[in-house]
Amino acid sequence: MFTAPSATTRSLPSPAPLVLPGDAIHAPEVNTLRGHGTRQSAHDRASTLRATQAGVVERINKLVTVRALRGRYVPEVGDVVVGRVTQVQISSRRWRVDVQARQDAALLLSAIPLPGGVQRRRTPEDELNMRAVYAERDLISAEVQEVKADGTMMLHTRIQGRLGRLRQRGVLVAVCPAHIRRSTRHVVSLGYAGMAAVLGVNGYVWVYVESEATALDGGEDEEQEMAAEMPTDAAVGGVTAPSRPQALALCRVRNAILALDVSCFSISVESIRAVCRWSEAVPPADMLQPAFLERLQAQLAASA
Amino acid sequence: MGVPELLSGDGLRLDGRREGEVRRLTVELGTVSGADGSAYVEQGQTRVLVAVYGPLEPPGGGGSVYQSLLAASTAAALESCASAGRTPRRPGRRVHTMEIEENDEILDEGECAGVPEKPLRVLPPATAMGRVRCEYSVASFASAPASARAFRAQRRRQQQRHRAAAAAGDVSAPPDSTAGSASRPSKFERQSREAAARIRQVFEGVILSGGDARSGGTSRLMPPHAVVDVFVQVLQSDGGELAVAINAASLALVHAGVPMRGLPVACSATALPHQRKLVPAVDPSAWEMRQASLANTAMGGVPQVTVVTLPSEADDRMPLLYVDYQAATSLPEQPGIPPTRATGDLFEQVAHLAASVGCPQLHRVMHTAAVAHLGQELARREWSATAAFIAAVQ
Repeated sequence: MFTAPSATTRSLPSPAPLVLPGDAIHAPEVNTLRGHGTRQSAHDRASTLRATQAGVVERINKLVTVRALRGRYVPEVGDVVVGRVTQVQISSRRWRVDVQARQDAALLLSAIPLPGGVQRRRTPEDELNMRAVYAERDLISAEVQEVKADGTMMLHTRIQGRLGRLRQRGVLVAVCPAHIRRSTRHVVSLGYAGMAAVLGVNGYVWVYVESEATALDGGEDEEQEMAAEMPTDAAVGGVTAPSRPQALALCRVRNAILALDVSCFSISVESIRAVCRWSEAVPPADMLQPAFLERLQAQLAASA
Repeated sequence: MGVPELLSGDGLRLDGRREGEVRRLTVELGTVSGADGSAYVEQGQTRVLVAVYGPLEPPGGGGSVYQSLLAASTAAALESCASAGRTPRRPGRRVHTMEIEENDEILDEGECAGVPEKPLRVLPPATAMGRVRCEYSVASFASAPASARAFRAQRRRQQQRHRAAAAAGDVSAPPDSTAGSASRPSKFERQSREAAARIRQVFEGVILSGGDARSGGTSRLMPPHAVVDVFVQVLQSDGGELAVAINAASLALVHAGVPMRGLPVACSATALPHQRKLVPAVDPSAWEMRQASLANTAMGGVPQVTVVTLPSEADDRMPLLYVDYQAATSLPEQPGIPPTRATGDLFEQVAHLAASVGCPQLHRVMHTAAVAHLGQELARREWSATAAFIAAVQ
């Protein structure tokens, strides 16, 4: 999909000086710590670092890092992410989850609440039932529990009723991870036409109909767990198809998120709600047309 | 055969440029939404679109096996390149990969003098060996004469197949059957594969992976199993496609936040006939290339060079990363005429002009454009996080 070029609106001054790979970073302090995104070239003086990434230079005391502006998701402990299970590795008791990062995340069997909600040791039966909990292609929301030194991330879904399989009627929207604004809550009600969303920090956003949020799977109802062995529509159980207004509202929220993403605006509950309300006069199908995007960007630039 | 004059009396080329001037360069980043990084570059009438995905874990998991396979295939490809450099299958076409840490001059004297004899050298800069995958394709409408030729060649092959089938008594095969067409790659497919291999080689030397001790904490930025996918689409070709594709790819990789040694900049160059001499000139258009190759026959040895430099590797010099050149040794030897080849001198002048005059011009434009675009993205993101933004749409 081609996007409207970002030059359509008045340009804003860059809030911070930017470096590209290979650009020199002056680091006059002795014993400067080279952080992520920097390197020391053999040709340079000791006081010069070189950026290896395009981004903003950040200095914390003697540590110099370059924070990338875009690109794939870089995990931090405590982030709420939305991911898709790509593999069930029974022998190593873990799921591999695609979270739009540089490598797949791992969700250990010991990091999920077991059916029945009791605390107990994991048994071999649990291993055999792993696919009944999360199967391949299942969408889950999870929290980053640990980031290893090599960047591998471990997830957990232990918060019942908030994290776990996403089994409501909804739609997944993939955006650039950098555009998701970090906040204290990422599983939120949008306050628009009964819609709610899981704003995964990794750039996957799950938009769903809030009235069915009670079906959020924390593993509390064992029967439903067992019935969900086949990830078909039938397994979604009591969830019914959304009504027409609900479906239109879902579309509007989805397109609002994509419009924000394409325009490089940050995506938060407030901005999604604002764009949804502002676009009421436009049918959802027209929200990704260049005409609408230009109008949105012009409206925003006018007040910048 | 008369030699065309490609420079006016004032030393201007047909489009009004001097020898050292590159064509107008236009850069746009973020043209493909959904890609991790993308760039669209116009240099004169050559237009190239590049989308980058990654670094990402190759689907299907089993990272290490996959990677070793990839590395093996890359090594095999390089090996075949190297052997092709020695055997006369494609004479006159050579690749030099040079160690940038040790290569002090722009061109090592020995490399130039021994142009046709030196085989490919693959040296340590390839820190991301097997970690870059590149797909290079040229749109069928990219250049009218080329696509017309391709079309005619395809028709001819089809007719031959049909005749062969008819001779074998198999009359049921329809004349436009394309069965078996995948057996041998066409000339264009081969050229695309070659260009893809060149681009992959360049970026294997530029992208930093975790294994490099001096890369400074890139293991998280480029994990051990991760690969980078580079998709190049040439939309319009008017000379210097490989150089423009490399420039577009390096901008797209910057946009995607892939850790790199620097911003590689490529420039093509050739020598144009002027008053019975050959004058080095950068960034030739397709027409100039064609005319120069006519002069090739008459004057012998017109080099066509693509040079990649890393301008930011050190302040005072422009290390040469990569040279791809085509000298005139591919001409069939005729009795009485010695086999023609670009002289070391002329080759060196052409490569030097591309590296020291062409590349800095291109680098300036690319750097400015990339910083401007990324700054714009950052400004929008930060501004749209404020309350004023929300108020604006309510």
